[in-house]
Amino acid sequence: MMNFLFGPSADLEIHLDGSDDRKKGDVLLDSGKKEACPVYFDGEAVSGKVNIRLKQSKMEHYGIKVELLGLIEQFSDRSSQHEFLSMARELARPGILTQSCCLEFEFVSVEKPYESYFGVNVKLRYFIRVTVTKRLNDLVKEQDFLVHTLAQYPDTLGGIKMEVGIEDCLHIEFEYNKSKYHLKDAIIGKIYFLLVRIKVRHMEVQILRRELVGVGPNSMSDCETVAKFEIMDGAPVKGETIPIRLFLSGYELTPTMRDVNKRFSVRYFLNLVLIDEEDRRYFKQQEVTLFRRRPNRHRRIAQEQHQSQSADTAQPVHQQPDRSYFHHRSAHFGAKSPAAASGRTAANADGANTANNNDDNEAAVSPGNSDNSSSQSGESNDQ
Amino acid sequence: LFWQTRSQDMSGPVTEDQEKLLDEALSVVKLQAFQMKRCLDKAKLMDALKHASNMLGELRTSLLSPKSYYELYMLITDEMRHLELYLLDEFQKGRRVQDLYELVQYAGNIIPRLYLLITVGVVYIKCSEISRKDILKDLVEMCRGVQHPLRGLFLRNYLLQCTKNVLPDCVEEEQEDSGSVSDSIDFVLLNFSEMNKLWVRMQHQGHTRERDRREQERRELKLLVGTNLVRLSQLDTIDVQRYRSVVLPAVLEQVVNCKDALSQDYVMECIIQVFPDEYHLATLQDFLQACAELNPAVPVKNILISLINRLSAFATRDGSNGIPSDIPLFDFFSEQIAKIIENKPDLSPEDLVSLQAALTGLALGVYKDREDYVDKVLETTNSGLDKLGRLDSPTKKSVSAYLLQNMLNNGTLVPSSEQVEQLLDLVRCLVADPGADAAAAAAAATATNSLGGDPGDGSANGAGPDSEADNEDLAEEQSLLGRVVHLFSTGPDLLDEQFGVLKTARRILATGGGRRVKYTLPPVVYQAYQLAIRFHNRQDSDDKWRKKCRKIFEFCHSTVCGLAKCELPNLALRLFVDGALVVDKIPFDQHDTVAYEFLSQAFSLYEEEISDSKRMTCFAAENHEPLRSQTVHAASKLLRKPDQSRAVAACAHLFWSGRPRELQGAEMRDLKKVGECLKRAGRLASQCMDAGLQAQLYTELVNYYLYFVLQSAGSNLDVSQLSSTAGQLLAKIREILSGLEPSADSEHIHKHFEATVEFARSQSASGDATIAGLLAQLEL
Repeated sequence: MMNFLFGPSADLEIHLDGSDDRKKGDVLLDSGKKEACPVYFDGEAVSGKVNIRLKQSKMEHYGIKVELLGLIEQFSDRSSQHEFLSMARELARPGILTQSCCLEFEFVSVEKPYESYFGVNVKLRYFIRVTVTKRLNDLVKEQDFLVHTLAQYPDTLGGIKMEVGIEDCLHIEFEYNKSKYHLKDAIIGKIYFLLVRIKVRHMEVQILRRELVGVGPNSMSDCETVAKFEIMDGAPVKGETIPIRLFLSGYELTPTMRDVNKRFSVRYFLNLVLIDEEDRRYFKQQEVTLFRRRPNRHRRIAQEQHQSQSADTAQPVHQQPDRSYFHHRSAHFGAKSPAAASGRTAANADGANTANNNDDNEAAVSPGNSDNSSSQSGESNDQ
Repeated sequence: LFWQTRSQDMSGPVTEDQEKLLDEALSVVKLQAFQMKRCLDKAKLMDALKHASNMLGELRTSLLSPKSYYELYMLITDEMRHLELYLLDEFQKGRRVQDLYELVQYAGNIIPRLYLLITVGVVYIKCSEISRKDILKDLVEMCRGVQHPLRGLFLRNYLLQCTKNVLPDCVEEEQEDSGSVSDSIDFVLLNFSEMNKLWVRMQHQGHTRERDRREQERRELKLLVGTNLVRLSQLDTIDVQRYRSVVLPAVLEQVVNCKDALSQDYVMECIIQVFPDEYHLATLQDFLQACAELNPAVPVKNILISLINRLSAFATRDGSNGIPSDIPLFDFFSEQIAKIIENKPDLSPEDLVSLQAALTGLALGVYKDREDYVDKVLETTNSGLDKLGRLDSPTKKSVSAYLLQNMLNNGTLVPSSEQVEQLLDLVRCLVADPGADAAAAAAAATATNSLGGDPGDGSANGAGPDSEADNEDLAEEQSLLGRVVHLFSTGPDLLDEQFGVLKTARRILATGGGRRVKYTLPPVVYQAYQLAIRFHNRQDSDDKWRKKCRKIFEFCHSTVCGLAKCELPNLALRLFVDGALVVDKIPFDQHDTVAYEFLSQAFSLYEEEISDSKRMTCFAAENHEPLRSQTVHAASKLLRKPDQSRAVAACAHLFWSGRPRELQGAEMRDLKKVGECLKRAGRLASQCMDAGLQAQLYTELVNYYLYFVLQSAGSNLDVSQLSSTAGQLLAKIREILSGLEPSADSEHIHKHFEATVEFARSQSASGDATIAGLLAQLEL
């Protein structure tokens, strides 16, 4: 910022209340660095202090204000920043500061409709901005914070069950236990082979994230393979049932965002891929809704369920440093394919092809020669 | 990264050297294992898991043969023990790593993921049994994800190895949460059926031309499948009831439904070997039922024989209670075997016979008092072997021979005429030539004759174009048959029936023609002779024994006459003479006439057929004057002079040691006739042209003289005549010997002569006056 050129007359520091106790999450800064920031929920107050430390004996200003902003930025067009949320408080009228001071602020029950998001082509961020207006160079300080949106769906919601196939070649029935998963959930399912005339080499479940930015001719789409999870090795025969159990907490996922301020959407798909011995791929995508579970009494019930899956009922679940470390690396763990290890490069390649994405609910098990050829019509025989 | 570069050609042809591939994999494993252990030492569990995962990634290869894969697997599972021990240690110290069971499931590849899951799951179980049941169930279900046969088999084997000591082994009531034996059963049975399916599937992969190799590879892996059954057998809580109602039905269902011969063969055998005999007894019917439903390519007989042998051994083992009386073991088996034979029209006769043989073993071993079982076996075998008609001749013969050999080994007696008939019918390919063969043999015989062929020897008859080997085979088969004749026995008491048996045997065996009766009828005749002796021994309890003996000898007479007609004069002669000896011992009415008849037959045979003088010595113990003179007569008619000389000299014994009835058993010692014989022999010897031979004959004669001189010592017989002749002979011998060219023959004669003289010296030294006189005469 401009004011640095001349040397700041004061240091600004924003301290959000309770930020030491709050859960933190990573914010992807413009510099590409990650910074741990506190997490807020919709409707929560955002309060804090602004510390102004003078570097000179006095500082004249034309007013000090604090803003709470929600921004959507498209990377392709830096200019088209969209403020969907903007609140401001005046902290001090114009005057002269003669000593360092601490100014408190509070935004009560702020509506934060969207989840923070740092995507391929778009970013949605929340931040507090403090501005000390001066004659020449305003002093400005920003502090990012994260917003998590919460949702709750009854567990009794039906799952996904579907029969797909290519006539006289491959016929399978697959089942995912739910259509909506929370981010720490496990996808439980099974594949039932009704007819196998191809020599399957292996089968995997992928989690795809599809980000769609903009509308009309200027829209940009990106599809990223967030997870690759091998669920079967070798060729099954008719009648075999293959179990699926995929823990989502190992991956960096966000809730599904269907329509964010009419600017972008982020949706998730489970892609079941069979690869035969000639490296042909047969796949079927199913959209699933991901959400962040509300941390309330339901949580306890879900936790018990979770524990029985992890087969350890003796101890409550804690977040341990070990674990997060492991999560962080989990994309590299075992699966050393380039797509999983450096998801973004692969995703960009995917994105180019999926720009004209079809109706996601179209059932298609398509033979193709690579992941990228997601043109779901053509050779496929829809069931 | 390592496996990934190779995973490109995972489906490629296996051309690379196994050894090289294995070495590469092993070195990766060693490196990763080293790093894993180093991380464990530094308590960096997550890094250790990552290295473990990399190490396990080597097991994803498709390039290794089962053998190399096994080696790799062994090294890796060995290293995994370090991880397991570390985790156990940490857990026991109370330092639990939360959600480890979930954490390891983030691994993207299924093979490392499942190996890790199993390892961690077992650690959980070992630390707390509370969730044991659920973990076991989860593990065995999750393993379904590996459908590749080789990798799946080894993964499930790892599961089985790791859970070895943690399977619940208690009845339901005791433990609700940690699981009971039925959970263990479900666990192992599921693992077993999945492994079996994978194992069977191996057969259907790849090219058909590699079929044999695949079968070989599968055989190498069979133990992996069998370990499941071993594990089941180690669960103490599985009692007979549970085995019958749960375990066995499930195993059998899997085996029968898989329809794979190799698997069925192995698993059935495995069941027999790993579970206790009592269980087999309790489930015999189910097991046998399953046997009947197996793939026709399965050698069911091996399975059944194995089971029968095991149960036989069990029943006769020390301390066992035997087969419970409520289990009709024999009936089960014989019914099942009958069913199998019925269901498998292409069952080979060898199989059929070996099945029946095992059954006989069971009958003999377990049911010693139930002879009717043996009868039953023979009956079934007979009806089963009706199919033998379709077989080619060598197979038929070998089957029959096998059957006979088995009877001999087991000492199976054939106790009635009907059974003799059945048995001989069964092996009729050995008993007689089939029609075509007989015709061929006849034609061959004619051909031989027209060529002026092979005279004399009986075995040449009908031999025709058969090679030497064929003749040997025939001799072998037929002597087998001959030995079996001795098994035709009704036991010690039923003598009349025994005669009936022999008559039947003769009737059937006589159809075999000269080549065969030579081997088969003599045993019948000897059996008959023996029977006569037994009748005689029982004369007190059977007042008709005389008549019966006579009947027997008539039977023998006609039999031997039959043999004589088959141009087997040597044999007939011997049988007649032996017969006469037997008759001699049995004083039934007119036994002397019968004996005379036998001997006269022998003579007429001799005169008509025999040119070989060696047979002469047989006559040395005869009774009647005409026979004696006839003998001398016959001897002097021999073709060759040396033979004549020897025979006539031998006849001297007739006149010395013969025991005519008039003398009431005393030797006749007709010195005059003896002297005549010897003189005649000397005369005949002198006619020999060959000086060496002459010397030989003379030497032998001197021996005769010495014998008779010594024999008459102490009697009042005048032997001076004999000794003077002997003296002359000795002189002659000396003369001849001195003129002989030295050769092997002359050497031999020389020795013989020296030995004779030495003998005479020793006798004289022992103080025999006559000899001393003789020797003096001989001017030794």
